[in-house]
Amino acid sequence: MDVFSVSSLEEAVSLLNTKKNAAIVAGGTDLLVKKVRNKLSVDSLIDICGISMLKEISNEVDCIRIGALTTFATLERELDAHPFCAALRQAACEMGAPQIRNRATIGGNIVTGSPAGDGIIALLALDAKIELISESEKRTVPLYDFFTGPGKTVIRPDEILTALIIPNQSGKSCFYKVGKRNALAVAVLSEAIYAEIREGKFETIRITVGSAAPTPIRAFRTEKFLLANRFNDEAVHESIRLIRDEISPIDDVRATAAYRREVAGNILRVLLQQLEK
Amino acid sequence: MAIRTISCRVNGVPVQKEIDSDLRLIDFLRENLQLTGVKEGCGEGECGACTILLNGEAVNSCLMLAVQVEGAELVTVEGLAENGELCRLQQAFIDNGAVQCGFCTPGMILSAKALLDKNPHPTEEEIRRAISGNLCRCTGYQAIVDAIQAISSNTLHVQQPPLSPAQEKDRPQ
Repeated sequence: MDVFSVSSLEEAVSLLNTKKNAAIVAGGTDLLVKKVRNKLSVDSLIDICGISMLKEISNEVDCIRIGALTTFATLERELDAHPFCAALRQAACEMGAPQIRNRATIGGNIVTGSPAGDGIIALLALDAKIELISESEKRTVPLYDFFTGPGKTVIRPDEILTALIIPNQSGKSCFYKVGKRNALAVAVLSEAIYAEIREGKFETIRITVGSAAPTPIRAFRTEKFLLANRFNDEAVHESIRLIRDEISPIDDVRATAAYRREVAGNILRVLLQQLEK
Repeated sequence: MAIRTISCRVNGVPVQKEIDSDLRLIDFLRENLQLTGVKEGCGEGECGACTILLNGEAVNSCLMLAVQVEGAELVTVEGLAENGELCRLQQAFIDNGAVQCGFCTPGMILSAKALLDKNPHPTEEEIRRAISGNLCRCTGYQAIVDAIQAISSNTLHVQQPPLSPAQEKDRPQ
């Protein structure tokens, strides 16, 4: 298999256009696993780690722009500067293990498209958009519209994910993951919340759930209920019931669907308590 | 198969080799450079036995392509001893009974080194987090944590836990 190492985005998109059946490699922490399991059926790899402009986190007027090659270790270190992104920082702390966090990129986490992707769940709660670039076009897609199934996304073969864009917001966010152990655990269930609360009422709330459906999901019904009610014990109680009902998890090697429903409610309780602090 | 030339520094020595472009870094280190202290456990990033330092950061060498370390500085466990003398961290692993079968040891030591180089006085929690990507199936983790704590000067006076009879027997006199 050929491996091409590029140092500019232009080179990358041009190669991607000419090499049919090529894949992008960055941190490699998912891709190399697929390769050793012979589940990677491409003729060539394009290593984009040399494109330094994709490794930057920059503050723009109304948003934070995170380059797709930003590693989880960098997110963990640098997101302290953006308190409303606490959910993403927490997800970055809990993803994988130190060795993985030093290599794995947030862009890779997104394009891998796992319904359990820790970074994805946090970014969805923060209402992130992603930027996709091909040789002929640049488009911005809401992250929520990116996933179509387990490991399936709307990215085209000639496109590269270059950045995530998180709108600046005034509220708070948090993330919680249940796994079999602390390190290197695929989420049995994970949730993130972004919320703005004023005078005991939610003005904005986004609740996202991982490992609960074929794609990362928003819990819209639960959100709608919380928006319509005062933030008190009864509302929390009812929202726990709603979210257990709203998700559609499966039985698999990590947990049963019934356990996931139970845990989804428990995590929601913990996160809503964190928001009150 | 496409061949590429790769140049990097491994344990302080400049290296230049022609390799298959999709060779994994672990295979480059073990097969091309005979650095067999880099162990392959799972080959999927779960066990940390293949941990090396890449520009000072711990990474799994089984999850990287060799061509991705062009121009980089790598350290394997072979690079720690100087003039035939073990480094303090290696000696601490021996002194604390933190080595049994030894398979996890190179990766464990390099994960610990990545931590201590940045944070010479870690808490126990920071130590446990730093080695959370390294599995040990023999000693358990306490002796390993003790070894790492023993050379962080915060905790120089930590009392050693009693040795098991087997460890006592093997202890260097």
